[in-house]
Amino acid sequence: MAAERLATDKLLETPFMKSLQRFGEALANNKVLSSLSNSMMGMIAIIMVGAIFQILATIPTLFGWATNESPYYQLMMGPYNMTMGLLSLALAFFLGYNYARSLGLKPLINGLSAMILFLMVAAPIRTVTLQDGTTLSAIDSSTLGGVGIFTAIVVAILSVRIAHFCEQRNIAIRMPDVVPPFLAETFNGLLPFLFNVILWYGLSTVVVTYTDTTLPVLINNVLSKPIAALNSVPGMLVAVFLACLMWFFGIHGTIVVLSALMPIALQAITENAAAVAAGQEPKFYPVMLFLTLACAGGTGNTLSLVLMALRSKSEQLRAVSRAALIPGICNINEPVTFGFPIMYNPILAIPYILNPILVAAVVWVGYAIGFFKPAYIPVMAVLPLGVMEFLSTLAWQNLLIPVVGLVVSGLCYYPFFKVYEKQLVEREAAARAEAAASAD
Amino acid sequence: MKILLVCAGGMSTSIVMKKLQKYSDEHGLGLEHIEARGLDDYQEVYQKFDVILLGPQVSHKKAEIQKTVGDKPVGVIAPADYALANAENIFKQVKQLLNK
Repeated sequence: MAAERLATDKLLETPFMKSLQRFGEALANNKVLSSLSNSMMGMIAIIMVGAIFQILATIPTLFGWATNESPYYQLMMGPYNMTMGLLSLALAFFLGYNYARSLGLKPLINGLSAMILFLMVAAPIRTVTLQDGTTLSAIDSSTLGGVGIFTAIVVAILSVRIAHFCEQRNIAIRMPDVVPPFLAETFNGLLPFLFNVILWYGLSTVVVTYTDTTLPVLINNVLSKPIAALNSVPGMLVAVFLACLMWFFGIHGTIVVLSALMPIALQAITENAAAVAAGQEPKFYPVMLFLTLACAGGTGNTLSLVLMALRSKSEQLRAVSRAALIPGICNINEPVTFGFPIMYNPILAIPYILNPILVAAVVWVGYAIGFFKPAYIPVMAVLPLGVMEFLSTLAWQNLLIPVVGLVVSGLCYYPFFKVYEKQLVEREAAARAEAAASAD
Repeated sequence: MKILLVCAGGMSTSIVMKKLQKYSDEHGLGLEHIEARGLDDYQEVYQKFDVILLGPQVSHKKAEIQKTVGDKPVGVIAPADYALANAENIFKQVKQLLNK
């Protein structure tokens, strides 16, 4: 037992493993990424309420009781349009708020100015003449949903960086000491905001005047290459691999990777939602494969492992799997990761990292032959087995995704589980013998 | 005694939270209030608590959290105790943190 522990520790002590761990921690502690993931989590309530109304609107159309033109459908889509339809607006605020807070700046004013700057470049007020000759001042909402996500991210991060720069260089209007602190603070925010407005509005005007596009279109074009690389089947396999690898080091890898993928996923789903609302079929986007990482019992699809261990000869595995069963059915698996454990355990890490990649490959084939339906409803929460797969598509076929996850992961885990179980049983027997000997 | 539990989203910690409350009620440990929060919103509430415990999956954030909460004691729950929600060990840890 001692020798075997030593071998494990030696592996973890190698420079390669050490640098992997440092890389994971650096990624998880990156301020931009963690602000983005906090903002995404902060928006879940807004996204989910939108999804609920979208589901209520869609169900009658599946049975032919209503169409996309029915007054009922239009009525139910109202809250969706004001939540998911304005998602980028909300993201600009949340991200400006969270990023400013992580840099030690005043969060509220920075969130608000990020939101205003985003509106300024993405949907400036325009005066349009209506058919009856009257005019209307309008904000075009078409860029404020999924389409504007990357613009919102770029504007929020950079505008806060500019405010941060001003604060560090002491660029602010100084008030004499007699001015109450509250008022002085308000003036402190004035110059950075003014600089930001001049910069973003100027940039936007230059882009509109000298090219045929707008700034958001330009930002999307610039980012489209790296995003396309990530939003591809190989890119997803790498993302899944990275998330699992970080969990092996005890870092919440899912959240780190998800914060980079969520904007892409939201954009894909909102585009599908628009397609379905227009009566077309939803399209498959590779980013949807990321869900196979945690489709059967949480990250690493560990429910199959829990089921195997329920009647294990090892006391430790039996105790942990009993505690982990119900959370596992709800797709929560911290008891497994820390109790089996999978963290720092090379034997179980191999199938843990390998199986989501294989599950993703099988599910991808299912999408490719048209059996699984691509998601068009943004269901973004940890839900019991199969619920997310069903609700995001309202297609029964997708209930089989967790089944694929269970079977494929089970096949991957089984041989490694047996080896690990044998080790534990021997270790437990040795511990018992030792205890008995010392009692005599 | 008031305990704040912090994990990534506040979900898996809520399992631990229930176990701790139950154990305290049974053994009269005087746990007045316990709450599970995610990394995105613990900043708003930590002032009300005596001790802050992190789930092992966010242990790499300990330094950052300690900086935010100042001199309040911050501890990371041991992975094995977290997995089985071992209330006895976790309360021992809380006691140690409070006596420091």
